[in-house]
Amino acid sequence: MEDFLYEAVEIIQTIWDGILFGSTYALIGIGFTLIFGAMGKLNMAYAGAAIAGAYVGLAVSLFFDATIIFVFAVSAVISTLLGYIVYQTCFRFIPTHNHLAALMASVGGLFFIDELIVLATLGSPMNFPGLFEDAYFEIGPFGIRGDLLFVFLIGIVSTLLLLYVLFKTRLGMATRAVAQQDIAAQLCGINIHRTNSITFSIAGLLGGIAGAMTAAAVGVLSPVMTVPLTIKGLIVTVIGGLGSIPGAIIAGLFVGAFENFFLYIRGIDERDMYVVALLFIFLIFRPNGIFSKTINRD
Amino acid sequence: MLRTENITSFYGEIQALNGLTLEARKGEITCLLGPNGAGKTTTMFTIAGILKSRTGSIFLEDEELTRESAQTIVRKGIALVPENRLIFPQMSVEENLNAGAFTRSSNDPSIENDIFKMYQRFPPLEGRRNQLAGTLSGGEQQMLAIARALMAKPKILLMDEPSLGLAPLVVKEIFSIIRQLNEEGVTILLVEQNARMALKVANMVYLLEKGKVSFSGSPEEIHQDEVIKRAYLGAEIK
Repeated sequence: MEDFLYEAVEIIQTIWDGILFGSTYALIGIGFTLIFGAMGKLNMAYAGAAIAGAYVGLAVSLFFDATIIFVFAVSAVISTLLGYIVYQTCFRFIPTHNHLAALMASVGGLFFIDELIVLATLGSPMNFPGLFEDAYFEIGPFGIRGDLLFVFLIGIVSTLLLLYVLFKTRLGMATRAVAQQDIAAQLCGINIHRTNSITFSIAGLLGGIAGAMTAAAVGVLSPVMTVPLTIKGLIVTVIGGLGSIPGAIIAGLFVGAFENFFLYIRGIDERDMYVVALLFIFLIFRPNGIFSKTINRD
Repeated sequence: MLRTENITSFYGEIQALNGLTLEARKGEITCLLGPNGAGKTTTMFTIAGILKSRTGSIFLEDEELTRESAQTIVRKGIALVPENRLIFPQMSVEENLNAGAFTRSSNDPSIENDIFKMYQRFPPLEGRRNQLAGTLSGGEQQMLAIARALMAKPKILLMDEPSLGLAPLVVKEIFSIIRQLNEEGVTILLVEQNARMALKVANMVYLLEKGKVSFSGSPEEIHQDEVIKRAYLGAEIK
């Protein structure tokens, strides 16, 4: 009986930690979904840019002995810039209806960024500073890790800010207009390329924060993180429903909990297998994700 | 007021307009009629700047707009109510109207007043102001599309098949709105498949065929031309 109780507490603890860490996936998922919503295209270079941003943030902290908040800020700024560059290089000049070309261009972008990171760091992992690593809150038999809580709170604040921009500002209105009806958006006087490049930059900003969050939670940065983070981001986007922000948030937290649960019962070797299996299950039984988009009359 | 001279537009390598010249005079309703594929919608898209003409020129009150982008053209005073309405489905009715006023400064106090005027003109919209536009009926969506275009305060309103897919009673209502707008002084360039209704409101008619104007004249002149009358209105019309 005692063993069983102990096990139950451990599992709940595991799932809870996973949800907190899942906020990084949620943020990455929001970025993918934001761009997909705006252009109907996937930006495969997105998570790569996020990790690259975190690297630059880390580099700054090595040279200037900066605080973690500053590292996050630098990471966010660099990823914003990378988001803009990726739009200009991989999307802007590719014909609108050639989805495969844009997809392949952004895959190229991902590997290019990857190679740049390997070149700059000689491919070896680097330690990344966490925050409140020593803080630990106890609630009954459960505990909350300070660094994960910090990551989670940053995720919430970023999401709220994004929703504010999207639904309460002129810029957000332009973004949603282009996403919903691009011809009508132009007829209303909205500049599509400008709006898209801003959408990419905003997504990049979120990505930079998510990249730094991931690194802070894991404690290291390594070039081998880009592809798995891309895949997790895509899985979250599909499970949440392409184009749905609430979907990406819930799916991100869910995938975080799910993978941590399987990490606990099956170990690190098998963890990602189950996450990919989850993707297959969703693609077969609920291909439109948790939130399928509202149906339009036309 | 609005003139196109010898414009040619392409979709990729497919030529849709072949040297089209027409004029919409101030205060009038000018109507483009023609079969499917004649280039009516292409003409509208080219004037609005969504498509670019390879030759010729487009003038609004002596200002050349041929090479301008769509977002500049709407600022110059040409607003298009596109075919199939193309409202923003996931935005509320009121947000759609605000999007229509995008070219105006966002702290322009008259925007709110103009939205209020739109609700007076189109009463069904007021009751649904916070409803998502995608859930409106076809007729309501058409009203919203017209209202959204008017929010840009255009000098000339382009309307592409506003009666498309609507019930006969709703079509009547839309045409009475068109007539009313015109009586208030709005210049209108109208594309229609519903030739009978269009001829009732038009001051000037252009018939398009294969990307060219094949006939132009007043509705009376069309009624006098037996061949055209039979082709566009059917033989029994008196």
